[in-house]
Amino acid sequence: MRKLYTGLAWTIAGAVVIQAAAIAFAFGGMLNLVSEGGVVDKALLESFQAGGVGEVGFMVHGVVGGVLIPLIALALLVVSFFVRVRGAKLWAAIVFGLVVLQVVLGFSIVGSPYLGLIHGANALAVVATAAVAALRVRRARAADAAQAPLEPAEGASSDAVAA
Amino acid sequence: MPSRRELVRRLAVGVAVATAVAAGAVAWSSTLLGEYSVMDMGAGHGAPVDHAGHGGSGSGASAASGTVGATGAVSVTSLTADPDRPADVRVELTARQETVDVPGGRAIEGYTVNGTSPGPTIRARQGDLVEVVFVNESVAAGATLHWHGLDLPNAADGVAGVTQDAVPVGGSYVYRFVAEDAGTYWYHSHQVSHEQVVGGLLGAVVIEPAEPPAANLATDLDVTALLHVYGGQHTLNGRADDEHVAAAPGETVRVRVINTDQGTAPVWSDEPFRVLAIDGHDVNEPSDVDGRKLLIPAGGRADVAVRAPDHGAVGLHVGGARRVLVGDPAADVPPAPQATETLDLLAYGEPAPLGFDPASADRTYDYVIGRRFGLLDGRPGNFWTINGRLFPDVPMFHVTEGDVVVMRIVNQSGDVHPMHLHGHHVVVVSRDGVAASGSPWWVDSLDVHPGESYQIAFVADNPGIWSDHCHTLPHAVDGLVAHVMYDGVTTPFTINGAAGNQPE
Repeated sequence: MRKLYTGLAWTIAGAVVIQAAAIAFAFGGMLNLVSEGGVVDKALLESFQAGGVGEVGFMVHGVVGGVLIPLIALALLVVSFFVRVRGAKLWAAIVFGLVVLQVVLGFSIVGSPYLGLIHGANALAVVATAAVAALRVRRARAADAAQAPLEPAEGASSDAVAA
Repeated sequence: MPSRRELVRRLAVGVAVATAVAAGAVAWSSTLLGEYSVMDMGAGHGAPVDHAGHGGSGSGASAASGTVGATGAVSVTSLTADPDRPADVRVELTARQETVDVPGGRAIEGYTVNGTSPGPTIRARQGDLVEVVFVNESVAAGATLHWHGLDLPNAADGVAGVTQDAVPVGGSYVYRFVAEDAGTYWYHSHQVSHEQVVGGLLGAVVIEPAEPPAANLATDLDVTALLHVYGGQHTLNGRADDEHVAAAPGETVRVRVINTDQGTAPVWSDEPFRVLAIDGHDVNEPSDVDGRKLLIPAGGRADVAVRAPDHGAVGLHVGGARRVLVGDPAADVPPAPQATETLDLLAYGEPAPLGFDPASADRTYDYVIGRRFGLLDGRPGNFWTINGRLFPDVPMFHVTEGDVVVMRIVNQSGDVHPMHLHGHHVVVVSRDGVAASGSPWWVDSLDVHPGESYQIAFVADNPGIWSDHCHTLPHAVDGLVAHVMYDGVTTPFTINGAAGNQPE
């Protein structure tokens, strides 16, 4: 379970990196389209062509941010209840809360562009808290592994449960 | 060997997981729509089978039976134009699923009407009875024709699963209606419309006025500018190019701009222009628009008058990417920078009598648009809500013929929504508490921006079951659809049934 917890937490942190890359790619594509004489308007936006070659960046940003990360954050929160490490639940809850905030901000940007300022900063907070969550539980795993040789039978059984 | 306590713990976890999975599966399957009739929609009628309130007659679904007699109800199929009156204009339109040639651009896979997209422009005179024989030659999912903005009899409204079955390959359907109002309209499929409209199953409709227009609305020339994006290519009348209108100095041109796309289209010029009509309804005493842009909602139309300059030509930007150039065809016209200020139609033109009093409303309804995560037809996503509820648990707007209906449309989401009511024109009473002060602003497609609240009114004078939805069509797929239903009107048609009707 601890392995799963750290895995999920690192996946969230990694997915945020993908988000940053994808949105930069998308806006690069859009500016490239405009610089070559293309016109971006609502009609093009709604027909999912406004990003030019970077359109896939918008799609990735939408799917990873709107579906994948929230699901993983939820899974992390659920898994945290089976991980007996101090703070595991708390940090999973913080990550989940920040992700929910991030999604709400993301869907509100069109109506209130200034929220974009918080959306970008909050992304870094998601990475940081996900990393803290992963590191804390990994440290606990490492500490247990160091103790394991002293109590071989108990260690084996808890590994089996973890697997 | 695990201890007894461990066994109990594992058993408890197992039972909990199994219960959670089962509960999830039940919750998920309860969102599956299956075959349903729009008559079963509305608050308190969430479940498709619950039908106690309708005297048992309504659920006689799928077998298209014409008029249902049991409760004196009227079927949508009987709401037709006078069947004995001969047609003044008769057109045959054939839809095909095929490659669409885009002159000036690259061809795309889409849909054509009589071999082209856009299809032929239907022209008629106000008062004419128009008869269109629609043939589906090869549109696999079936197709229909909806007459966007024309207030016609319900049986000709063309909404698959509500007013007819989708026309299958090899099938046909006859649309008959009297063109009551002059103006600019368009037709498009209302079956799997988010694909078929985007793919080009559409065309323009121009109804000439029975009487010549007033002097201040008359123009020398008349052109249509139908906007559509084909596979990322902005086009005007199907061509990925600007439109040139040869006009002598001082001549005026009526440009009928039709926005068939999924988003708002701006119209602007560096010369003054006039907005003669919105959604097929004349503006009373329009003034010159200078340095401001006109916004046309998705699905909406605007007739704009442009005057050819004494030298060269003037460019009217339509929809951002394309222009209609009026004047000397050889003239080189630099593009005009887009105006930042928007023409506010709430205060454009001069007031005129509405013909009814919105203050004495018989029915008042709220149409509050929101957004939340949930399941729609078993599909997870961030969906639109109406009055806080997800489709199909959205309100049904019941009306009686003759009612004055007032509706408050509020957008609490982050996106603009072009709201389109079938079969009626609505007049804007106020926006965000500010009363309309210009010409009566009659619309069938109204952009409601994030945070805005519109009060609109209409007279329920066209019996039927009428869709009232967002015309950014993927939004309709994601639940932004409700209906106005007249008392006593029923439909034998169903959605998701054997006929494969999927109006959105």
